Amino acid sequence: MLPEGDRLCPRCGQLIPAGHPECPVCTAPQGFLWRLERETLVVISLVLLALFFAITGFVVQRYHATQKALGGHWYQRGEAALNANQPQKAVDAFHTALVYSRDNSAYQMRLAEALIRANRLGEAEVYLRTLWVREPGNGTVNLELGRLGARRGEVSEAIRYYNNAVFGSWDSDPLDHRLETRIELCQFLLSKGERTQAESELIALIALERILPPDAALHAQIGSMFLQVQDYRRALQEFQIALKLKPNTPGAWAGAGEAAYEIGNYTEARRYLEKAVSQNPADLRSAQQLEIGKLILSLDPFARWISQRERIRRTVAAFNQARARVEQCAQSRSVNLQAKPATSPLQNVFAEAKKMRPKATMRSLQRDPDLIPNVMDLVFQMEQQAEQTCGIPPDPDRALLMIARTRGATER
Amino acid sequence: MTDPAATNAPKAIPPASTAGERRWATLLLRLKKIRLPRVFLHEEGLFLLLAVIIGLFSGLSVVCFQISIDWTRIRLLGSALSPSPLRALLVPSLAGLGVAVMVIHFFPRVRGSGVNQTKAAVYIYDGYIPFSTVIGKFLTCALSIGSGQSLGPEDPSLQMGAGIASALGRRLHLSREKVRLIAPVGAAAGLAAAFNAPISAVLFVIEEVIGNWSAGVLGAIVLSAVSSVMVLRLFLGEEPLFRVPPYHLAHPGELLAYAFLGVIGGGASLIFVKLVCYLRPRLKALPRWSYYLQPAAAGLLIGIIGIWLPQVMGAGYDFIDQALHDQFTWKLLIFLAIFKIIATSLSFSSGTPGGMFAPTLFIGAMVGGAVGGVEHIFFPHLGGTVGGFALVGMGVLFASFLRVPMTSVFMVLEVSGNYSIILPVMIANTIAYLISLRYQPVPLFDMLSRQDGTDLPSMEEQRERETLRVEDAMRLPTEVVLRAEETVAEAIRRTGSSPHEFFLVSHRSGDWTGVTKETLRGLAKEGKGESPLSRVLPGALLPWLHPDQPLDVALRQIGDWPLIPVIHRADFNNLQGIISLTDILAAYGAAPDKDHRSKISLESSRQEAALGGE
Repeated sequence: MLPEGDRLCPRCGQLIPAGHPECPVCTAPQGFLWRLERETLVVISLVLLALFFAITGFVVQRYHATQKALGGHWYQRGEAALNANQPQKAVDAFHTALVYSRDNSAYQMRLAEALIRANRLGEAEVYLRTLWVREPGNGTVNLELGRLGARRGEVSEAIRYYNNAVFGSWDSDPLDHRLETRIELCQFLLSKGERTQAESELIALIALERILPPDAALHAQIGSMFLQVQDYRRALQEFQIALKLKPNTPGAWAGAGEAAYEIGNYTEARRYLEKAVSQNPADLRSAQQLEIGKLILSLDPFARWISQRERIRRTVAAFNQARARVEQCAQSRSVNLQAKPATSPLQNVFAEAKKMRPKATMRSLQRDPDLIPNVMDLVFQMEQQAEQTCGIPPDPDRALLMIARTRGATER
Repeated sequence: MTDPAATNAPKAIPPASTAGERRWATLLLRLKKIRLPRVFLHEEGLFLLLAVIIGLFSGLSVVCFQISIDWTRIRLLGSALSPSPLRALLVPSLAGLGVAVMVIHFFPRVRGSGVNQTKAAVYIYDGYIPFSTVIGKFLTCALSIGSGQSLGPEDPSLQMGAGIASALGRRLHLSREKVRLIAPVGAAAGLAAAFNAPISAVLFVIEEVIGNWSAGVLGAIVLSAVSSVMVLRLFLGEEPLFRVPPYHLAHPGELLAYAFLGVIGGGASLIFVKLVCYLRPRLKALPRWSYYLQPAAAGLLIGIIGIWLPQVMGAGYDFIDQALHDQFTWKLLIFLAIFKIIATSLSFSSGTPGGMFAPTLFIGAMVGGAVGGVEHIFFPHLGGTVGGFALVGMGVLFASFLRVPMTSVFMVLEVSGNYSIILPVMIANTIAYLISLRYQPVPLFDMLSRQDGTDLPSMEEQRERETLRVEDAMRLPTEVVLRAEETVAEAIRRTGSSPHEFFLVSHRSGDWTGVTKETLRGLAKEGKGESPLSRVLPGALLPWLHPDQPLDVALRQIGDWPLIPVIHRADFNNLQGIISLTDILAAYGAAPDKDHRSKISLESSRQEAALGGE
């Protein structure tokens, strides 16, 4: 596409303007450089090259400085947006920051975090995986990948990355980060019902906890998680340490009470729970456990410190209470307890109770105290059957059920 | 090209009129007096050294060029990823106006494809590329790409490299042959630095510009590419052009999806080529005054697209990176691919200087990402990553649009640094390339050069051309073949009934000679009838051929011989056939005149007819 009248020189390809008969380049007197020796020209080229290097170096230095500044500027904007809970805006800002500092891991990490907060998990994962390939041992990257897996419900994936994060490298406070990551892992495992795995992680956590400075809240937190995995003894130990370090640790009294209650140590449970309820009267769970605990202490015929007479009295009272519970339950479910032959489990157990009734008296038991365990076994059967048929029982019956459970555990 | 130093050398320095000029003249005179050791007398050595120097200069130029584009973009469009609507509308159109003025008045040769201009330098202008083209490309492309025109920096980088090489080659008084070869050396350096991928650059130049692997040129090209990339990495870092997420082939069934990507990519490249080839001659045919407005109009249209899809503005590397990281939905990716095709066709056809490589990669990444996204919806169990599809898509468009299948495969490997992507790339690229070859017989670069009125050699045509071989022309050896141990009398007896005059003589050593009936009779008259032929025949050996050799070798070998033997490669006494000059000419005469070229002429004449009709 040449200007009208112009043409290209067939020899050198240069433009010959309209009206010029010859090529201005080919016919121009040749410059002085044309007459220099080849070797001299090579040296001149090298000198020019060195000059060009220097100029480019200067330009590149300024360019990098500008890029860095722009990257920092957009990163700050991203941080501000993230703090203002505007993840979408933060994503755009971090994207722009990465244009100016492409391989900045911190920017990529923040972008991934912003993407997660913007619920763009797929995109976040790509960035995190790229970072992971670059630094497979990076604790932060593994933690974020673990969180991503957790959010997606990919249990094995999440556990793998959480574990990588626990054993990974951290820029600062590695012990604290490892502890937090392990706690997060335990919470994730508990949320997924992986109790066995959670318990082993918690045991590892205790080892880690011992290295760190004493922290009552941390012990209480770990105690709560032990409660969730139903390792009540370790839970009780953790709560006790927490209370020793700081007697008013929130939740520690209630936790210790619950742990003692579940172990069957009702005397101690009562002590902890009374304290918990006095500190926080709104804690209904502790109040109820305290109530049942007290009932257990007053109803348990197997308690060590009571006299034989009291033991027999409690046995008879328990028998009458259980029998009444069965009758009440049968009535509510319209079950005829007198029907023959007995077809339902409730009818069977009531028939057994009917047979036992003559023996479950003060006089009879005083004559033969060895019958107490047999009577109590029937009491437990009646309570369990009533619970299965009619659901959650009133507090005195719950107390009997708890006694049954504790006794079963002790026998086992 | 005659040596200007020899023809125009004045005897003394012209008298300087000012003090400055006098000082300059004195400096030059002193330089002239310097006598350095003549270490570069051997031109081959100088050529290789020059390749390194060219590589370094090209690398530095590309570094500065990339920085200029970036600075221009930040200054004109702002530092955000998406410019404000006002900037998106105003900047590309105003910059387009400025670019048009610069191109028309100062740098008329910067229009068009740098690849073709480098080829033109090699095949038409004896390696001459004016240095003003380098400056022009630098300035106009930095402005156009930086202002948001949908073009890329690779093609200009390639041409700048070629221009620098040409200037250095001429200044260093290289021979005409070397000056012709030096432009591709610079082109490889420029492209290698632009892509930060030396292997792909070397392959591209060999595949598209020079079309052969001669050791001398290859060495220089490799040296220049390596040195330019080294400079680039020194200044701009080791990072590849794209940050490619990790890839592995999750399921063999995924390959079917990649084959589908090949089909879609081939189709997309066809649309792209057809649109460019449709728009460009039509815009060129408009009145001359419109040349001032075309880049501005293209810029305005791109700006309008850019308000909604800012990704289509500029080279788009950052957005390719985002597509590789699965940052767009598949629907958006389809829109981006469509509008990038439109925007690039507008920019390029309007005469705005800039390259097509980056837009090709952009479109490929978007098409690939879209196919990957669709695969995720319909076949989630295959588990392929969108990034993998985007990466393969880039190779697919490169193979089908630019028609460089080898380069496309190596480019993806080099850019990703991941060998496990090779299978998808090979499958998809091959399918796309074959679709493009079938429905667009003329490659883009050839089409562009023909639109510009030049007929540069097409490397693809050379590759695809059916080569005539010796076996296509040779005859079976029905004539009598003599053995060197036979006596003259025996030979006369055996050849007596033959209608032919010339006979081949086979030697035990594997050599072949020839003898005429007349010579045999003469020997008999001289009383040498009982002598074996090996003793009495003249010593000149016949040249021989093998059946698989190209026929032009036969043409060069045959000389004045009436016929020469065609022998087995593993047994030199095993005569496979004979060939004469008449056989060779008959074979050339019978060969169909290249179908390909006929198709090209047909297509070009159709286009011209269409334009004329309008």
